[in-house]
Amino acid sequence: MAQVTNRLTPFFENITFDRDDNELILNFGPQHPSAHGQLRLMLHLQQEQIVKAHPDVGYLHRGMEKMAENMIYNEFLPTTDRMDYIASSANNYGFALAVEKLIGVEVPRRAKVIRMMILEINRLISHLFWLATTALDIGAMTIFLYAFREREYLMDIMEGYCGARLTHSSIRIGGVPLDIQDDFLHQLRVFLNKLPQNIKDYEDLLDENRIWRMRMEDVGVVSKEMALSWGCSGPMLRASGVAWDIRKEEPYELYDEVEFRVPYSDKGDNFARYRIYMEEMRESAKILYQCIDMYEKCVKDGETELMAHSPRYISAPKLDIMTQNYSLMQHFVLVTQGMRPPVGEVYAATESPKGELGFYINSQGDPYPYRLKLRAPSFWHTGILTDLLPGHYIPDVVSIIGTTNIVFGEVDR
Amino acid sequence: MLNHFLEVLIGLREMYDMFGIVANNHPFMKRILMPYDWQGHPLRKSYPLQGDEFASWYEVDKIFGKEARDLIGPELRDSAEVNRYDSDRFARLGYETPRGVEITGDEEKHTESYQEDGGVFLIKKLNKESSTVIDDPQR
Repeated sequence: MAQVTNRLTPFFENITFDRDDNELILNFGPQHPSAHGQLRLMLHLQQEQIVKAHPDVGYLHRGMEKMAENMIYNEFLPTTDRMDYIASSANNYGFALAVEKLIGVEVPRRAKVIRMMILEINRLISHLFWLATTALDIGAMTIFLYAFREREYLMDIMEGYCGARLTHSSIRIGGVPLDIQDDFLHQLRVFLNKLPQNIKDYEDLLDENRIWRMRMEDVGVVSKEMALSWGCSGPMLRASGVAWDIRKEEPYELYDEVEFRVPYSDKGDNFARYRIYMEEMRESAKILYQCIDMYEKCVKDGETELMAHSPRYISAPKLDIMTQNYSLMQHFVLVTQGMRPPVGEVYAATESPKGELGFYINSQGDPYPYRLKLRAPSFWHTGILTDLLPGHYIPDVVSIIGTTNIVFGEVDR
Repeated sequence: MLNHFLEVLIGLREMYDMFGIVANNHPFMKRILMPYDWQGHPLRKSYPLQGDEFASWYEVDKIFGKEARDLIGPELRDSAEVNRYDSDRFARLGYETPRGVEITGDEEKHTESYQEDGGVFLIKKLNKESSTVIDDPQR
């Protein structure tokens, strides 16, 4: 029987409620605490087993791509904060990189080092947050408190740098707005020296934990073919046996100068993903140590530039604006009208903590992009749930959603 | 493409949702980000940024029906707007008037204030009449 919809009875896509079989339809979310935001899953159940899953997204849709078409480039940058709001600098960076590619500017070395430090701090923040929430969903409350404590240190460092804790906007098109504060390196070093012990603490609590292993091992197995077919990236892809990291494949910034490993696993289950997140935290710490050395070398070599020199697109330093008439005029035009990149299109992919974060910009020479497409990793990781969940049981849904690490600011954009 | 890349299952749905481009042989060509009963495709250049008429009355039409449009009025887009005749928002503090009552502009200022029955533990209400103001700096 087809369902009758009117003003008061809601419409459920493609579902009839009077069924001949014994299938139960469970509406999971969008307000479920483990739905990581606004995920609504319609699960067809046989007993407790899922036979069909239908993710329904769009509850956080703000139309960022449409907004971008109506904003000048610099104006859109703070909006990207609201995509993956756990690690917002990664989004800022992805957008800045795409625009820099479009206008063809070279970022000064010191700015590059600062950007890398910010990116890796954001990766650590994101991974610690992932560990905390996933462990909490599965019931390990202690990990949640520990991981949030460590995340707090990093949030304080970020707050000291840019003044914001969550929506950083800490990266500008063409460089970074500020040099790092005096005690930034010291704080970071103190944190990094403690981090290996902290990660070991988490692992001591989880690796041999019977409940944790039962919930994670052989649950949510994503085969290599499946991961490639569904467009997975980041830890989701690496846990399925593909050692693909954009920082290695198409190095941006100075990632070709630092040494780090790309952890991957062939198992593809929840536990493999958990191991990869832990290993990636260690690799991030390794990169950060090298960044500190690189920054100190920059200081010694007397490199002070923080923004690229490109008067057509990027404002001059504040001192020039205040003292030189021509710089002031250019600054005025860039602020009121916005930069006009050349006609062309560009796609820039970065390795955000969640996976491949890509920005496609089509420019017609106007101050506004003609079209801007955000390729957010979580969107594709939501799609795989259709294929991944059938065969699992209801409690597994929670752990699978946890390890896919989807953030709904990014899915719905 | 479906044989090789299952990701198009959601990618093409987004394309349909945003631009109205329908892909052949897709098993479930439905909207993905916008509501299922939405009209129009938002990323088209012909679609206005503020939304069309359907968009601005979407919730009202759906919940209360088209006939309630006049009663409810258009959506308030300016979040910083202050309406001096809106007594709900306390824009006329001390001179509030009930909704629907004509505002003449010469209402008396009322002195009503709110107090829990029997008072609140440890908290004393300031009585302006019985309190004294000390303005002697040498006190």
